[in-house]
Amino acid sequence: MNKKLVLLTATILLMLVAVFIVLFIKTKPEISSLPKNNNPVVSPVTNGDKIKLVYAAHWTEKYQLEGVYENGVLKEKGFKQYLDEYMTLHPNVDISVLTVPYADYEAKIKLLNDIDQAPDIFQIYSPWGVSYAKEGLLDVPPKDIKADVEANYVSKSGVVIDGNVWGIPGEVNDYSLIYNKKMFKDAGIVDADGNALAPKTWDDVVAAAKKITKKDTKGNIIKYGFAFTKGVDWAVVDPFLSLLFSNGGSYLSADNSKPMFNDAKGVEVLTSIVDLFKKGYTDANSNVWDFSNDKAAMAFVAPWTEGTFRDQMGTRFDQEVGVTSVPYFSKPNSLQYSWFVGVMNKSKNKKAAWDFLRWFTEDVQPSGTTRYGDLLARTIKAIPDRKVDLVSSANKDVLVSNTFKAPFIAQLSSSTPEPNVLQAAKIKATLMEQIQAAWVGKDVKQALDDAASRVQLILDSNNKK
Amino acid sequence: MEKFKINYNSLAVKIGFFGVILIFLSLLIFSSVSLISQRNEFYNDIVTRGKIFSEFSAQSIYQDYITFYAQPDEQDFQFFKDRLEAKFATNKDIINASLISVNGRILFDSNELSSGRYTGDVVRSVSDAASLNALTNEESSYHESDFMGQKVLEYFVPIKEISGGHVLVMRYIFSFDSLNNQLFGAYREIAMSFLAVFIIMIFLCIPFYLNLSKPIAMLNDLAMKVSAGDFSVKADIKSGKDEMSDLAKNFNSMVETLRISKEETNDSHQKEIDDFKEKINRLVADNTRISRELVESGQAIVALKDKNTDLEKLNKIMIDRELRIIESKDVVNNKKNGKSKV
Repeated sequence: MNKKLVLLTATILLMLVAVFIVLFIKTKPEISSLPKNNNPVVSPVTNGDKIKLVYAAHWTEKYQLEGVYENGVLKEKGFKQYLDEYMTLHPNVDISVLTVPYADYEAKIKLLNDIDQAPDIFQIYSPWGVSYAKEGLLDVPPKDIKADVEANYVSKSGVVIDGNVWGIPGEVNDYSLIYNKKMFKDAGIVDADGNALAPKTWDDVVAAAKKITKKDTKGNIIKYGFAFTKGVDWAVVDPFLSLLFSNGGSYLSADNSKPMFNDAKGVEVLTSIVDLFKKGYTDANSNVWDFSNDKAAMAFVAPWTEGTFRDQMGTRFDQEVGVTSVPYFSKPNSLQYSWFVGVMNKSKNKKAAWDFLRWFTEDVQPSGTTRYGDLLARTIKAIPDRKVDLVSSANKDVLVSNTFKAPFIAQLSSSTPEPNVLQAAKIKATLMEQIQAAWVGKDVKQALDDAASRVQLILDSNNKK
Repeated sequence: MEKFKINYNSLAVKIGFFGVILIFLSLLIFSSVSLISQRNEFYNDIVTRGKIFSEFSAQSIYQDYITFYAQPDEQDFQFFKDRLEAKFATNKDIINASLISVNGRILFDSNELSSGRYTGDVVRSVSDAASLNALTNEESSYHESDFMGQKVLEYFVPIKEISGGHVLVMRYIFSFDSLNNQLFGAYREIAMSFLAVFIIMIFLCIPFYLNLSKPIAMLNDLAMKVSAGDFSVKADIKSGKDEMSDLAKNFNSMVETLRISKEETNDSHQKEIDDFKEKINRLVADNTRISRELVESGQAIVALKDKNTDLEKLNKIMIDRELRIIESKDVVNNKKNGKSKV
C-alpha cells in the first residue's frame, strides 16, 4: 500500500459523502405515501325538476327547527315540520334550511350574496336590512304582499326602509323586567297577600336590589340584585335605551343624522344604572343568565328568552319567574325591535320563494292563525307581529294569557321602535363600550359624550354612502 | 524533535486505514438510514403541524373574517390583520391563508392584507383542478402543489354550516422550508459527528500507530543487529500482556537461544578446526613424504621408460611375426580344402 492508494480511497469516500448529501437534498419522501385528496368533484345536489329553495334562519336550537317534544310526542311543531308540510303540498319544491348564528348572520348573508351562494329566503333583524336594501341584496316584494303588510301587522317600522316595504314582518319584541319571585319573597318584598311585589319604578328596582344583594366575606357578590351582561348589546344598550325612552329621551334624531342619547335625560338614566354598580348591587361580572340559577334577582330581557329560561329552570320557571313592564322614569316605554323575512335579489326562484312566504305568513289556518305566527308564538317563544296571530284565541295560552308574554305584549303599544339606521350594530357597539366604561368608573356625562361623538362619525359616514 | 512521518507500508497504517474505512462506511450507512428516517419524520411533522393548525384555526379565522374583515371599519380590518398575524406566529410553516367559496371565489388572501381590505371589485378565483376539487370535499384534505415557484402543501378545511354542508373553505399553504432547515440541521449534526469521529480516530490511531509500529520497528532493528551477529541485543519488555510483549519476550528468548547455540557451535567448530589442522598437517607431511618418494622414483621411471621402449619394440616384432604365421596358416588351410577365396 502506498500514499496514492490512501489518497484515492479517501477521495472515493469523500465523493460518497458528497453523493449522499446531494441525493438527500434532491430527494424527498414520496407524497404517494400520504393520503391524497382524490375525491371526485362533487356535483351540486340536484333534485330533478324540483325547485330548490334555501331558507337562511338564525335559529340554532334543535327544538326551534325540529319541534318541542314531551315524552317522545311532538307538542309544538318546529320549522322543519312546516317545511315538510309545504313540500308535501308542493312536491315540486324542495326547501332546505341554512342555519346561520345570529352573531354571523348580517355579514354572512352579504358574503353568501357576494359569492353567488345567496339563500333564497332571508330572515333578518330589521336594522340589517338597511345596508342590504342599499346594496341591492333584497328583492322588492310583490304588490299583494306589500298591501298585506300594510294592512295586517301590529308594527311595520322594521320592514320599512327609506319608505319602502322590503319584506314581511316576523316577530316584534320589546323589553320587560324579569324578577325572581322566590328571591323577592325571601327578601320580604311582598304585597299584602304575601306575593312577590313587582317593581314599578326605577326606585323600586334599586330598593329591591339593595335588599336582595348578598356578598361573601371578601365582598364578592354572590347574589346579584340586578344583572347585565358585559359585551352583549341587548343586555347593556337595550336596557339603557328602554329606560331612556321611559325618561322621555331619544336614541337618534328622527332623520337618523345625530345621536340624542347624551342629553340630560340620557345622563340621568345612565347615572341611575351606574348607581347600582356604585352601591354594589351588581358589577361588570354579572350575567343575565345567572337569573336561572337564582344568582340574579332582576334583569331586562326580550320575549325570546322565555324558551331558554324554561329550558334551564324546568319546573322552577312557573314558580319563580315574574315579569313586569320596564320600571319607568316618567312614563311607561320600552325599546321595540323586529325581524322580517323576504327574498334575496339573487334568488333564482323568486316566485317560488314568495309563494312559500305567502303560504307560511299569510295563509290563515282553521285555528285563525298563520303557520309563521304559530311557530313564533308556540315554539320560538317570540311575539308574532301579525295581528291575527297576536289576538287569536288559539295562541292565547302562549301570548296574551301567558304570564311571561303578557307584559311584553301589553307594552308594545307604548314601546319605541329601534331606528332602521345603517351600521346599527356598530352604533350600538360604540355606545355599549362607553356604557361599560361608565359602569367601572368613567364619568357618565363624559362616557355618553364620547359615545355620541363616535356615533356622529358613523352617522356622518352613513350620509356619505 | 524528530519529524512525525507516516510509513504507508507500515502494518499499523494498513490496519488503521482499513479500520477508518470500515468506520467511515458504517457511519455513512448509519447516517443514510438516519437521514431517510428523519426526513420522513420532518415531513410528517410539517403535515401534522399544518393539520392541527388548520383544523384549530379555520373556524376562528372565518369568525374573525365575518366579525371584523366584513365590517367597513378600518379598525376592525386592522384587528383582523393583527389576529391573523398572531395565529400565523404559532406555525412556522404557514405562508398563506385564504377564505374561498365552494365555487372558487377567493374572499380574502393573507398575502394581500398589506394592501388593504379586498373590496370585491375584481373577482378572484381558484382555477386549478386539484384545488377546485378540494373545495367541494366535505372533509379536510390536502395535496402538494406549486405556489409562487416553490413546492408547498395546500390544506383545505371546509367551514361547516350548522345545518350541514359547507359553502366556504379555508385554504392554508405551508412551506417546506422548515423541512430543509431541519434537514440542514441534521446534516450539520452528522457532519459534526463525522468530524468528531475523525478527530477521535486520529487521536486513537496515533497511539495505536505508535504502540504497534514502534515496537515492531525496534524489533526490526534488533533483528538486523542479530543478523549481523550481535547477539547481545535485548528487546525492552514492558510489563504488558499484549501480543507485542509476547513477541518481544519470544524475540529475546530466540536471541538467547541463538547466542547459546552460537557459542556451542563455536566450541564444536574449534575442535573440528583443530582436528582438521591436525589432519592437514598430517596430510602435508604425507604429501611431503610422497613428493620425496616421487622424486626418488623419478629416476626409476626414466629407466623403466627406456625399458618400456625396448619392450614395445620387441612386442611389435613379435606381433608382426605372429601375424605372418597366422596368414601362412590360412593359406595352407585354404589349399587343403580346395577352396579359394578368390
